[in-house]
Amino acid sequence: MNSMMAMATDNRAVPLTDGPATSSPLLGVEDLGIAFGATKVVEGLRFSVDPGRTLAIVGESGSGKSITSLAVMGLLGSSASVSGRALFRRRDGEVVDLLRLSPGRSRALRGDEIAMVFQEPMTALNPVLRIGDQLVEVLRNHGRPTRGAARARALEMLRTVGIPDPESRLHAYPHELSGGMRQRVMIAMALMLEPGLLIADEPTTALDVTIQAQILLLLRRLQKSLGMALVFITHDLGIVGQIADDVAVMYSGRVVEAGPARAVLATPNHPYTRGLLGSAPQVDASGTPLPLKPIPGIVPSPVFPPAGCRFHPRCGEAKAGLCDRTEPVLEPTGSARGVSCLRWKEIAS
Amino acid sequence: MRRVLDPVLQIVPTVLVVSLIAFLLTSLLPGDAALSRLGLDATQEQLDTMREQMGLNDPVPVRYLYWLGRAVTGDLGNSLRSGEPVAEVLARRIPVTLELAVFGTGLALLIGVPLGILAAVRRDSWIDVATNLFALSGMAIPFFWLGLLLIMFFSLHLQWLPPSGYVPFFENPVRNLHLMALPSLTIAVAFAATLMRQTRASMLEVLNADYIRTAHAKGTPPIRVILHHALRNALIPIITVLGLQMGTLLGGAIVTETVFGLPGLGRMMVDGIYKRDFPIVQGALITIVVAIVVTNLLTDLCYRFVNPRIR
Ligand SMILES: Nc1ncnc2c1ncn2[C@@H]1O[C@H](COP(=O)(O)OP(=O)(O)O)[C@@H](O)[C@H]1O
Ligand SMILES: [Mg+2]
Repeated sequence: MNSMMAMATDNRAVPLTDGPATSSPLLGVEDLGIAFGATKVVEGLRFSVDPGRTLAIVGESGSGKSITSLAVMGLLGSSASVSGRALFRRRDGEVVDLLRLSPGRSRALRGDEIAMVFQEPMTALNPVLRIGDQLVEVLRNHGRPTRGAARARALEMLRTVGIPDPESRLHAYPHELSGGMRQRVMIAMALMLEPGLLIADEPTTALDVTIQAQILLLLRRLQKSLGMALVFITHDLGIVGQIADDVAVMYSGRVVEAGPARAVLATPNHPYTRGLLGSAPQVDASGTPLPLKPIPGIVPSPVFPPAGCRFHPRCGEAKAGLCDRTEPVLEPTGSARGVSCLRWKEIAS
Repeated sequence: MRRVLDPVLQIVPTVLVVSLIAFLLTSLLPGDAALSRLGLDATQEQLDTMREQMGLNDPVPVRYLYWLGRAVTGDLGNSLRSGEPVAEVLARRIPVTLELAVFGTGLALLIGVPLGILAAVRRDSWIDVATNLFALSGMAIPFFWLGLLLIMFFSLHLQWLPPSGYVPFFENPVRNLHLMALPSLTIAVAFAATLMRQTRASMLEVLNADYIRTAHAKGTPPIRVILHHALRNALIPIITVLGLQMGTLLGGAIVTETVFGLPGLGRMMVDGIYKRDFPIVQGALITIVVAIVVTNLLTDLCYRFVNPRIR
């Protein structure tokens, strides 16, 4: 409640959800900065996730999505310096800043209240340990389950994520499973203790298309049935409509557009969001695929970021003398939306 | 069962080839066994008779087959010097070298693996620098020199440990351990250095792996991440190095036994060469090679055990 009010009065702040105003966010990231040495890779990043809702973070490769999620998890190595706040509301109601937790307290939250699924199912599981042991370990890290209870829970989770013949899978090694099955195991492992927040970093990118759809459906179903909050990271704006309530579009370490997913997808305000929509596979009303229009150029290196708006060198709407001089901030555009573009009003009209 | 049987069968040709080489090496070595048996004042007639008796006049392939046929039944011939069966000499010598090898390997593992883990986890810290220095000097220092240094320091200077001699373990365990301490340390140092560097390298690689991040992501205590998740994977290349180093270890044992006056296989071989006692040399050589082959086999089985992907 308080943070919502604070965000609404701060002109840089944008509440990213249109949920009931009484619910305070489960996770509120404010002014997050991540730097490796002198290179600022993420700056002034802001987003929030409400309990039981799905936020998609979208952006091209290299825009800082993975390191943002690792920072929230407390998994960034000591080579990174992190600033800002990431306020997380625990089960017992206590609000903690994830960026300032002691290593011990951070560890106690990981796997219990916040869990993560990674992009590469082929390498994310330990190749020399049995699936069952890797699942049960989550319980051991956060309590003292009996052997029988731990096994039962592991079996239950394997069933929940749709793994056939779960009894024998408990004794299997990762290499005996396909990529899709391994990603299901990763999801089962993440959900062993029913965390309030699951961060999934491109969980379907490494899988082939039919499996992608299955995993997406599974995540959606589990998110609904467990009532957990989901941060779904992807480079594919085309997926966002299928899974997310809210969306935050990231470019070069900043949020450039945010708001309810349906609204943002229907009327994107930022030229980058429009570009992403054009480069995602789309179909017209009759179901025929529209031609892809990739955004020209690449994400700038954080070592030599362009002056002014970071997107201006690739932007069809950029105005010389303005966009290459002044850096835009995320400003509210009404109905829980925000955009970080100097010309969004002109473009919209 | 095949998993175990196949590698076992594979060592048969290796042992055969090595036995042939061992046989040829010793039978082609310069020096006349009959002469060295009878001494310099033997007459030509006596020498001829002795050569005939010892089968030295038969063609080499025939001699090899005879020798091999007896060898597989445990009859490795008799010492040309004492007439004692080689098998009996071996039975006395093998326990000494075995003890040295086991203690040396154990010490090397106890020193090398923890230091390697520490160096990897505290990469670029003073611990890393210090252990690297230890590894470099440990690998550079020759066995005999290290042995002499240890004797000078621990035996002559501190007078803590005896400089040489041997008492069987079951006769007097305490005395045995006292006597074996310095020789074991001597062969352990270079081995520990190699193990340390391999452990450090493979730990560094493994600690960067995705599954380590996963282990942290599920709230695994850091110690457990290192010892359970990382080390289990890092062990795979460490075990390979362990197997490959067995030859070096036994080579070190030969020198070390000489420095510390231990009556083991190495000394047996060296003495045999000096005395042109070919059956003795052959017996020792074959035993050492079989030991290397068998440890490689054990390494292979261990490797299969820790690496589920090739089971
Ligand atoms: N350990 C690191 N040291 C220096 N730069 C890094 C490191 N990790 C990531 N980066 C940089 O951070 C930027 C964002 O990376 P990442 O979060 O992986 O992007 P995304 O997940 O959106 O593809 C990239 O430019 C990358 O080069
Ligand atoms: Mg990424």
